Amino acid sequence: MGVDLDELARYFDGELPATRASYVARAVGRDEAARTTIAEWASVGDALRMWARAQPRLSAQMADPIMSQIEGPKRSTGSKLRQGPKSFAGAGPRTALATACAVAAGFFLVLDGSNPRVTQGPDRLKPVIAPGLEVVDRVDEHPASDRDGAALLALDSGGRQVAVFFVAADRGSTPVVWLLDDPPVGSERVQPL
Amino acid sequence: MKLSVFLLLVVACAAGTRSAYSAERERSAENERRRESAPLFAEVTVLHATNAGKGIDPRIGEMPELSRAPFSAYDSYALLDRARLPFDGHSRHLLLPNGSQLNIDLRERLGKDQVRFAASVSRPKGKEVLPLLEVKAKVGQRFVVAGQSFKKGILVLVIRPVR
Repeated sequence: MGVDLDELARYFDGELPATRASYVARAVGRDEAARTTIAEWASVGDALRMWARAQPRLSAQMADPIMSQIEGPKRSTGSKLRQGPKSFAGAGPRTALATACAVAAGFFLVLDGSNPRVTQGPDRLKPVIAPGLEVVDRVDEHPASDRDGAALLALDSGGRQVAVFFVAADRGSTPVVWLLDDPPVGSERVQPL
Repeated sequence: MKLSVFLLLVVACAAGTRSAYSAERERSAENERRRESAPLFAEVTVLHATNAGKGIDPRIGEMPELSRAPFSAYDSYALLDRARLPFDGHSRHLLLPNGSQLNIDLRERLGKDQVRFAASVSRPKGKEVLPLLEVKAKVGQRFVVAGQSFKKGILVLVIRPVR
């Protein structure tokens, strides 16, 4: 019996039964890599909570649409994602990151394992717009525009979960592809305890 | 007599001006031809984002995106590598610090300062992290691939066409 990354995430989210949570807590205390992973998740969650406190109405409006993209019914059976919280107070790491992306960009697009390939000819990818946010750029309304920055034309996520969003830059906006489920590699991997 | 001298001077000045203008136009056209045929490169900047409390490495230069969410969730950005891969019709590779490989492949040159190219990230033994990302960008326009785990943080790859 060990603790894998998914169980660590459930522990972080407070979703484990008390006995298992107690076991994982002891295991984390002995594992520096696990502690580091949890600290990183917490830092993203802190940023999110600060934002959520500042804009509670918008954060509440965003939760379900964002999670519906992440937890959509077409999700691949192999996905380890879980149902997210309805508020951001206890947002899990993936929820936190995805939401932070949306906060930054005004919109984002999440691709999961059930939709690994998005190829859209000369047009840009169509983003999912989070309601209530100020849209800083609508890529679908600026096809092939040069003044707004680089344009994403096609993306094959290979079954990985990624978020696609734009961040305001000095001129226009910069497209970002963020891998949401990249596990640590080599010695960084959280080892079974 | 005076009038004819004056007219001669006017004609000479006009001819001189026209000659200078033609030379300037030729120089401009030549510069334009050189710009259009000048090789373009993919500049890849590899950053390590952590919460080490060290701030943003000044060698990174101006990159306002790093101070905006979600990048601002990390308080430290270190410059790990900066490489120029030529857009020359061949697939070009850059080994990343976490052992994976970034592949850049020119698909089409669109005029003097714009390209359409493909990027992908793969791990050793051929396992793909991000099989395909196709981008159209002008010189100086960035796009970012972030999120690969690396040493208590993540890698942030900033890619832009440059001359």
